[in-house]
Amino acid sequence: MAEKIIVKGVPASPGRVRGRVKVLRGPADVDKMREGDVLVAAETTPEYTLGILRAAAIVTDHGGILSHPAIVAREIGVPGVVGTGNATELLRDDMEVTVDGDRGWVLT
Amino acid sequence: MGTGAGYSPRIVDAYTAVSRHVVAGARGRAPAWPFSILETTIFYSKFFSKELIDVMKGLEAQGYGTDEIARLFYGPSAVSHWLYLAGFPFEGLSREDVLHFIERTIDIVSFWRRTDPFCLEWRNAIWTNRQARESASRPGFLEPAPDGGLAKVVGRINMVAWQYCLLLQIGHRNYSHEFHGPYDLENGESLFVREYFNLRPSEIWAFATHEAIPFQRMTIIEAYEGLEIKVDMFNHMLASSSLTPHLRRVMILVDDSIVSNEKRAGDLLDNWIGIIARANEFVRGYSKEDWVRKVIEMKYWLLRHQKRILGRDWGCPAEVVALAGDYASVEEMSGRAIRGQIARMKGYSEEDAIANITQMYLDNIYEGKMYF
Repeated sequence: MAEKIIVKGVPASPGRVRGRVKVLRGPADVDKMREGDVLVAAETTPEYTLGILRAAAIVTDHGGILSHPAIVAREIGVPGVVGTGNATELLRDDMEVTVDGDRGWVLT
Repeated sequence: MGTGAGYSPRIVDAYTAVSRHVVAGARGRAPAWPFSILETTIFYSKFFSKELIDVMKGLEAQGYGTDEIARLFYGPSAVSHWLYLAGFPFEGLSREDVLHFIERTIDIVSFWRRTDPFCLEWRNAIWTNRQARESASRPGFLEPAPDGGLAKVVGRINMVAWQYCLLLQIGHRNYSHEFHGPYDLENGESLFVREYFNLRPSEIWAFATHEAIPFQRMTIIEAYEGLEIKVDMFNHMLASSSLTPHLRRVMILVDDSIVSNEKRAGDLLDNWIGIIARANEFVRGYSKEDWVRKVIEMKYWLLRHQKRILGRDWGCPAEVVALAGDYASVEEMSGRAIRGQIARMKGYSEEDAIANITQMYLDNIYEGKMYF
């Protein structure tokens, strides 16, 4: 089956990875993250650190190439897509997606 | 841009650099946790700027020179933030005082960054290239294997340590970290240095005890190949790619002890994960008012050495803490100011937006015109 783009944003950290979505709506949701999950949030903060360490990729609604999620994704070497505007609306927990950090896409 | 007769060119340069940062922030490219720096700047500028000017004058009266004052403030990026303060309304201060404060701030930043105080070349050059080359030739560097295990550990240590510093400082205020470089090693590598310090402010944060964080400083010296790194005057870092695949050599120092192998680096990462977990647990449930109070406390904590020298109590005055309780009205005012700034920039090119905001700052400083 051909992949379909479901979310577009700013390519913030290169690489391509497939994983299960976890939408974090606050620091308390960090506990949902398992190793290899795709972290999806409006933005990331220091309170999300333990979730970031488990993430295979990071996708956020806000931010650009100098934003917090972009910097941390490049730092730990995982794909990052930021400034999508609507990732937390379109993506749901446990969806299997591919994150393409080179193009700024999230695909089915 | 109108620069007015009698405007100091170095002040114009400084505010051009600050405005570049404001424009980047307003367009969603700068970090803003737990709230925009503009919000908090308006909140504390009225009282904290006076405090800073007073401390600066007190140290000068005791014969402290620029170099000595600069060293009391750890690094240039924390001091660069004062320029924000000076660009906002001052109450009860003469224009001469404000201009003196700005000039001294620029002197201090220029002490650290001698050739490019506002990082206009996107480099935070605190060392000379010669110092960088000497550091790069010291024994104690580790070389990541091709599988990248050590490089990943280093990336994670940096990420977690940076989050811890952001939490201590409540955002990007650089009281406990300074990232500097890149320095060209003339062998195809560039050196980038992360300094983490003031890691145990236990007077402010109850979780930052000696037992919880057994070291006060950590320095990571990284040599990269094939990676472009840019840094702005407030230490925001932009790398052209993921860092880990490009790391060729690294030295990690914890309170001056060299981390000698990958196993120990892994232990250090585990240590850091425990530290950030405890810190996050501590702030879980913090309200905006709690955060504002901590922002204020940290501001005064930064001046503790200086005020001790002057024989003064360094603690945050009770009337200042009480202001945090009236945060809602300040928040309304700052929200208005931020919206105003963004509205003014709508449809502007980046260059025009920077020029426009620079002029606002200069009008405020030199002409006393209030935009906020």
